[in-house]
Amino acid sequence: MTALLRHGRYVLGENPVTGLAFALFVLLVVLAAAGPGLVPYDPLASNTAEALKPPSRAHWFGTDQLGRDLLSRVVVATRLDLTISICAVMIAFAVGSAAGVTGGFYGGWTDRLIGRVLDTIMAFPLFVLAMGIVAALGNTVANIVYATAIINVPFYARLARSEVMVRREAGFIEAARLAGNRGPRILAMHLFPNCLPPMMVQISLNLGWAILNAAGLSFIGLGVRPPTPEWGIMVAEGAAFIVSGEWWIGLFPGAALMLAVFCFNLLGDGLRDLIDPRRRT
Amino acid sequence: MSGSGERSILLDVKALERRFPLGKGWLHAVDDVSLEIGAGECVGLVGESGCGKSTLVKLITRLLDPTAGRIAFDGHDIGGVPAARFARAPERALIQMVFQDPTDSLNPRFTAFDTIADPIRRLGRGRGAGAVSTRVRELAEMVGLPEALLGRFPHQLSGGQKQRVGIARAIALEPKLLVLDEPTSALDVSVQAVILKLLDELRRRLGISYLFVSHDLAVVRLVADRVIVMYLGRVVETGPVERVFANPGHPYTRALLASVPMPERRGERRFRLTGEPRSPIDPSPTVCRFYGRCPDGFERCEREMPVLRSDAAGHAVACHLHG
Amino acid sequence: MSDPPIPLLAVQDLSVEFRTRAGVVHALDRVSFDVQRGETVGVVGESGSGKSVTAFALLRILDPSARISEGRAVFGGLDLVTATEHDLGLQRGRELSMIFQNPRTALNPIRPVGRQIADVLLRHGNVARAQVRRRAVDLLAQVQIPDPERRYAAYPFQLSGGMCQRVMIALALACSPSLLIADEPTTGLDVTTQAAIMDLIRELAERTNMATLLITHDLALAAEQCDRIVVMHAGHVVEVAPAEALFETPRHPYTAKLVAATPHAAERLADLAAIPGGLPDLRGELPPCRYRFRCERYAPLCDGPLPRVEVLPGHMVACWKPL
Repeated sequence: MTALLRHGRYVLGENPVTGLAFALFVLLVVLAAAGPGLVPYDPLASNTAEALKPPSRAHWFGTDQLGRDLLSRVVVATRLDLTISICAVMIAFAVGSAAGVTGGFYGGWTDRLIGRVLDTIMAFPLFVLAMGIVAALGNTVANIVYATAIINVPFYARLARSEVMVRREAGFIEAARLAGNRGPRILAMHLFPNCLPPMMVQISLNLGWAILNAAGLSFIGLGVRPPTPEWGIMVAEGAAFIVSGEWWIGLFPGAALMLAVFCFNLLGDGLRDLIDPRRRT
Repeated sequence: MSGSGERSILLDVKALERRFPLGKGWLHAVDDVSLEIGAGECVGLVGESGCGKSTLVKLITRLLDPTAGRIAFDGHDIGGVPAARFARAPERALIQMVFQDPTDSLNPRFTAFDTIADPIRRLGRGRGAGAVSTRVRELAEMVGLPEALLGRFPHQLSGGQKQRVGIARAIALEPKLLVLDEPTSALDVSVQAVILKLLDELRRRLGISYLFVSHDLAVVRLVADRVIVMYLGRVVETGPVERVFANPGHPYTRALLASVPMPERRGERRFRLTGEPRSPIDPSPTVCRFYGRCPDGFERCEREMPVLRSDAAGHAVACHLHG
Repeated sequence: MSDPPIPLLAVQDLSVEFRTRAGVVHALDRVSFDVQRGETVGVVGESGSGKSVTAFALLRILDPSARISEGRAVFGGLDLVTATEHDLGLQRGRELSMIFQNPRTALNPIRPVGRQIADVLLRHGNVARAQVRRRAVDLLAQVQIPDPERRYAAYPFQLSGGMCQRVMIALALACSPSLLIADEPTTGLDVTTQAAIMDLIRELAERTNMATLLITHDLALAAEQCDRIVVMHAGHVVEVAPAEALFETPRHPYTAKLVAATPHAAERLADLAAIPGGLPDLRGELPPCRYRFRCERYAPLCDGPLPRVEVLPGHMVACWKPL
């Protein structure tokens, strides 16, 4: 474990960008966890007297059309957005890699069947599919998570499958068989860990995409409902006000979205370096 | 078998065949191969790409199932146990392999310790963590791997060190038969010498039998007691290594020996093979596989597949003219 | 007495360093040797000896992190080290050609082999477009590829390793260069294919009086095929001698150990010698003789600058205490 921590410190120190991304990630997690307790105002409390006020000392990010403090809403929304995207990506990763690894290793009909299911999912424009799933199953946060997870499964499955197919015939897999390992064990302990590094990059890119996806769904009215603070709906609400000059309502949640996606993308390389033993010297 | 007196047969392969479906025909990778390996002896297996030695190796180590024929190990039939279930068979621990490419044969995510410990943890007799650790250290010492290197990953080890890890892993379960698939061809010549001597010492000390697969005839001459020559899926010659190399019977063996670079033969015009090898797909059972490339072929070679005929010294050749 | 002939290629004090994150690697240090018109010179060494770096430096196709820090390589009046890309481009493929180790990966995988040969002919060969296909097919026939008309349109993946190497030879020899650099041309090929490829190279070289620089780790191969041999260790040239003399009476301790480690030269496994120690780390401070820490004959005088001693005419040793 300590070797991992030591290697972690090395990875973070080696590339300043990774360190920055990691710091940003920590900030986001802190805001998600402790945010609601830290904010100056109640994100749901409306105060029409204070409506549409630009950023000031009292309201750093200004207020929206109902007088709610934007800073508080943006910070509190972090928890929801992060939760949605992390849950969706974790589900997609788990289901997708299991499917891909199984198909790639066993081949034959298993592979063909899994392949056809994936093809079906990929045949739809992904966002449209998400919309369809949420519209069909109902407008809840859980359904956004499932919809986002489903549309992301093929990426992990394809990646895992090709990684497994490349390594399936490698010497160390034959050696594992000679040592008495059987199919499922070889898959789990020998093959899959070697497929992780490229998956790490995929996960981080996916996190960013998942946030955008959830925000997008909320933007068009599917998913999170007002008055729950969520970056997507806030951008949607803010869009209506840009023309009339109240730029802050859409900008700050949009900037938060951008920062989060930026952070996840940069984190990808760092995560991969952390996991891949070949990067350890 | 002759000369060395009573020797128990450890591996007995009879008429082994492995075919693969290819389009509308069958690829005969291994065809009617019979061989024996006695306890404690080192048998060399030579042949070029396409001769079937990789498939034969997979069949013997039970990573692949034969389509016909028998494989008996220490008297028990192991050919009948499907490869998918062989991991549970009692013989699994007794037949092990050292691979050619040290980089490809070690899991990049396992330390040297984990690599060597894996077979012990899987098939060793109920050992706790302490016993596993002791055994790994013992093996590392046997193969000359410094203990400090056990915590390293493969990319942090040299070629020779990686190969030592592979050898330690292979002998961890005290196998009776070790298949060595070109164990030194990826190594520098100076490291090769050390590893070959190590392998020889281990064999004598632990009483293991070796099946030493190599394309390097000079190495086979040094390490093997007997040699088997394969061509296009069949055994064409076999016998005590000194005899076969001094007096090759089969024209293919002669061509092989003539191709080995020898400084003494500078500038000499040498025996060379011409033409293309015959196709291994649906080969005719009545035509000698070497016919067409053989400088000595005549009409009987086209009518009748030659069989291995042995002389008194155990030197067998499958050729109508030279058998 | 006539003056000694001007060598076709004269390499003098060639030094190459690589800038890496871990420091500057002194890959080559004052490498000197020459190649006469029509002769075959072998460059022999283990991995890390710098033999491939030498070849790449001559053609200036080194990694961007490499720098030729010193030395000259005069080829037909042109110093390859200081020549402009334009002048060098005129030489490469026309007068000076190279074939590489892994034939299938050295060819363009998505272009038919015949077209690749045609490309060279068009660029360098002053061949009219209408004649190019004919010439390319002729070349394929010259390198003994069966059915060259049909194989013109074949892709590298459709050909065996041996045939890909023949295509590469055809590519290299398309414009009848005066010097062919062959970097491990037969590593990875079957022994019979290896012999055939070496025969082919030798025949073609004899026919056009082409010189060959053969880079290999196989000392026996070099001893059989080459007129003279250059032995390299850790970026230094340690010995240069006629092939026979080098193999029978090596004068540098490293060469002697290398010969003793070659399986061919040993009678029994016990005779196979290992070379103690390992390659020195080529970064940072290095002693003048890079073999010093592995050498049994070391004496304080070996700490002086590395000499070049001509122990016999044509036989040079870089050692204070030659055997």
